Amino acid sequence: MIKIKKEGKVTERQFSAIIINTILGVGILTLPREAVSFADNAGIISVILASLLSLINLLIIIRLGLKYPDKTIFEYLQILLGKILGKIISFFIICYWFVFTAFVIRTFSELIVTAVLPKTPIEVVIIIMLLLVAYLSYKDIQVLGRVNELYVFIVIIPILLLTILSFKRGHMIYVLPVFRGHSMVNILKSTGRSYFSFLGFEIVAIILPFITTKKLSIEYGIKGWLIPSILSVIVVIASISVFGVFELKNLVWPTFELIKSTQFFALIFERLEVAFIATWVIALFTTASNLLFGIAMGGAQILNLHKHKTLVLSLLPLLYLFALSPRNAYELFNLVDIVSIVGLILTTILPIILLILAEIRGKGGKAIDEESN
Amino acid sequence: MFWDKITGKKNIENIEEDKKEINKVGLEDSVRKNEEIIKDLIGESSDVVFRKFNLAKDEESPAMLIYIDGLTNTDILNLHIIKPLLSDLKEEDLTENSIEEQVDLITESIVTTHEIKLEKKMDKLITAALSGDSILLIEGLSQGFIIASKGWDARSISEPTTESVIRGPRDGFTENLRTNTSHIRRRLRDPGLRVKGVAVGERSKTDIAILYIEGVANPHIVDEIMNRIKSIKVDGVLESGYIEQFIEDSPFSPFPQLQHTERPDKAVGNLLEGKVAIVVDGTPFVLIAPAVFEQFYHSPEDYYNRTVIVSLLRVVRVIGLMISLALPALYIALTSFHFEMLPTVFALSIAGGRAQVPLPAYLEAFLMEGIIEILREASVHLPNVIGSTIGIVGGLILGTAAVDAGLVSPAMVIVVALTTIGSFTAPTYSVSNAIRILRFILMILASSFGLYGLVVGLIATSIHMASLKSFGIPYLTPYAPSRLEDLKDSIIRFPLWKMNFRPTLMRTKNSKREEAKEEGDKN
Repeated sequence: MIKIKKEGKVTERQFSAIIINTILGVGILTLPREAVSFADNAGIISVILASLLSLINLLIIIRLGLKYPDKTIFEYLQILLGKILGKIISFFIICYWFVFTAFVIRTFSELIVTAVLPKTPIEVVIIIMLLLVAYLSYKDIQVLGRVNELYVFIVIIPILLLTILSFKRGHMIYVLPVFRGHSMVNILKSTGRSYFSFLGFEIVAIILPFITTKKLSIEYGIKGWLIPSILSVIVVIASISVFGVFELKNLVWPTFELIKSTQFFALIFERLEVAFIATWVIALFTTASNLLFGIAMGGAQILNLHKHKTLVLSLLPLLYLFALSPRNAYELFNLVDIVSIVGLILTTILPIILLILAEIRGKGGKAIDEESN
Repeated sequence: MFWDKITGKKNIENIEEDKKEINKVGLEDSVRKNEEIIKDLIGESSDVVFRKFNLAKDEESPAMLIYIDGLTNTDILNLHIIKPLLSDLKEEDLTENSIEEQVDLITESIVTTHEIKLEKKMDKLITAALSGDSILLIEGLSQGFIIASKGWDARSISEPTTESVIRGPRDGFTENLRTNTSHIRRRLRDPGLRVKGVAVGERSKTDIAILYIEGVANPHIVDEIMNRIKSIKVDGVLESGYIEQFIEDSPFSPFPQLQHTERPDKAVGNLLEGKVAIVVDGTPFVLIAPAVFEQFYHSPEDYYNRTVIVSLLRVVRVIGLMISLALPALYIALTSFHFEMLPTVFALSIAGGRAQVPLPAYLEAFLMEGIIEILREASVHLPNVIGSTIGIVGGLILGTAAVDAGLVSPAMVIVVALTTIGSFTAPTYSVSNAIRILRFILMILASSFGLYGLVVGLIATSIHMASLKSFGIPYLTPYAPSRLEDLKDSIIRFPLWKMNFRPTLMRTKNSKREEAKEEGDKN
């Protein structure tokens, strides 16, 4: 196990920023469509439910992390479940993050190729994105925290601004009434799909031991969850109000279309989608590099490596292959759906089981903890 | 070392002991022999003067004064050393007293300079002579006197040329180390101000003063700076840039990690924030460490003007820096990849201007930026008189001719002009150099991948900046890691009475600014 001093490397604000930036990623680009897919107008409720579910899971993970304040999830998994089972589950989590990262990069590259660089081969776009992501993941966690902190407002403010601007063309008649006799099952189905855009918060399982003040982690964790949730709800309402439910269901990139349809003449730029993509590169990049950092860190802890850096570089080619594996956008979306179901199960069920185990073991767990030190 | 004598302070550290022969050489008790030894060591140099005379005009007791012509004040030599030794000293003083009593007599009653001391070691004597003091040797004594007699021609204090301000003091640092430290002392009558001396350079033995305020500066940072300076191994130090390159954290980064300034007020302001100033003899540029990116667009004038104006000016500077960093790249991206982003009218006028141009946009941009760089470099080396002519010929005529000939579009000329002017909004020259390099990298990225490449380039730059450290201080503070207290002095400068704390990034010992009243106000 790596014996480095963890505490004090990430400030609380950086902790929030990492959560925000990891959540805000590729999910929100397709969120409006997923939200209305089963629930129609009640999609707004689905999104709120999904965000609440993610909050609960986030809090459980933080609680769990606070039980082992100087350990990442990959370390306390081995304490709770034993060495072998712990490593297997850790490996499973890493695989999930790995596929998630690969698809985040792929989804975004698809968008770039369709929207702004139609003549550029997607491979080149992916390679550049990968190199950039690896550049940050290769650095230490302090740098990761700083970069996330630097970008959190650069990501939030443009998307918020552009979404609010798009309300100009919206009609409230499309939004209301929210309930049109949808069954609870449909709402829940939509919730499950919308949950994908809140995935990424599980990165706290790795970041938590590095935070300066452990007591504040819940408060700042909630702050980190709140901003993307509000943003998501606003985006969904705006999309429904502009397109209406039925058109929305047919859009591939609903959020992107929303921005595209917005014109703001006071700016020099007539079409804002390129500017949107430019800022969204940042959102995507932070998601991917935070996850890649988590993967490399976890991998290093499973394999007893001293530095996560070695893994970052060796994972790049694999990540590239995975990102290229779906043949087209349609296949990609189907795969993303599978990943999101895996994510739903992993982030909902695993933390609860672990928390119960930790409670049961109570002091016994701590004894092992002290022994291993 | 002459340091001790001038400051009267304890010399913290000797320079690295020479391993040369000179170390072992001692002094004889005969003036003639000593003269030979010194001549042997120092060589036959025309500026080394060996002045022979007799103490108290007594031929029995020869003496010798050794000094470097041009480094010494001849008035001191004539009136305070040679004349008293010849006339005020009586022959019976020499005959009646033992050699020890003679030494006491000379130091206490005869020589009238402000400082005189005995030294046994030959190498110290020679170093003293080489730094402007004079050596007095007398017969029968196997030691030498070091008599303070420094005095040479130096440039008088003038207005700094690189950091001009409208409002603010007009005096600047000079090439003389003592003048420079006195500039700082004069503004900072704090007993806590420390001036530590080190000599760096195996051969040049350049004097370096490290200034900080005890109790304000973080002792770890001071120690770290001291250690790094002491471990420098180099032949000669001709400018503070030598020191900067030896002690900075990331030598291959385009970004400067130490500040340099010609302005004493800026140096003092930084000392009060808990930073450390490094004054190097022979250059008006004083280094300030640690430095964060934030400071490079701050001007000392910012604290003399009123809050609202300063905040506006800082916004202007940041915009200027952004323009000079990214505008050419943005131009390339928009004209070659994302023409549809521009409003129709605007796009048409740019396209109209570009219709005649045979070059693709990125070549056009590289051509123009390249020409500007050549012009800029040329104008630095040209004599002042011709410099302005070249500016006009290069800038105006070349630009107009290029547009008329249809080689570049008018929009490109505007972009290039804005870029160049924008890079000068930064009050510090070193940061605009960093941006010059990055501009070309961004241009290459933008011409390959459009706006996507530009954004990727900007992100990579910011990752690099976030990973930089200057003596343990993250380069992007107070933005990342964010420090709310420090943000009061960032793009928006709060009123001075609101900035109650020293920058937290320095982790200063006494953080409240007003606490030590005698410090005076920083601003």
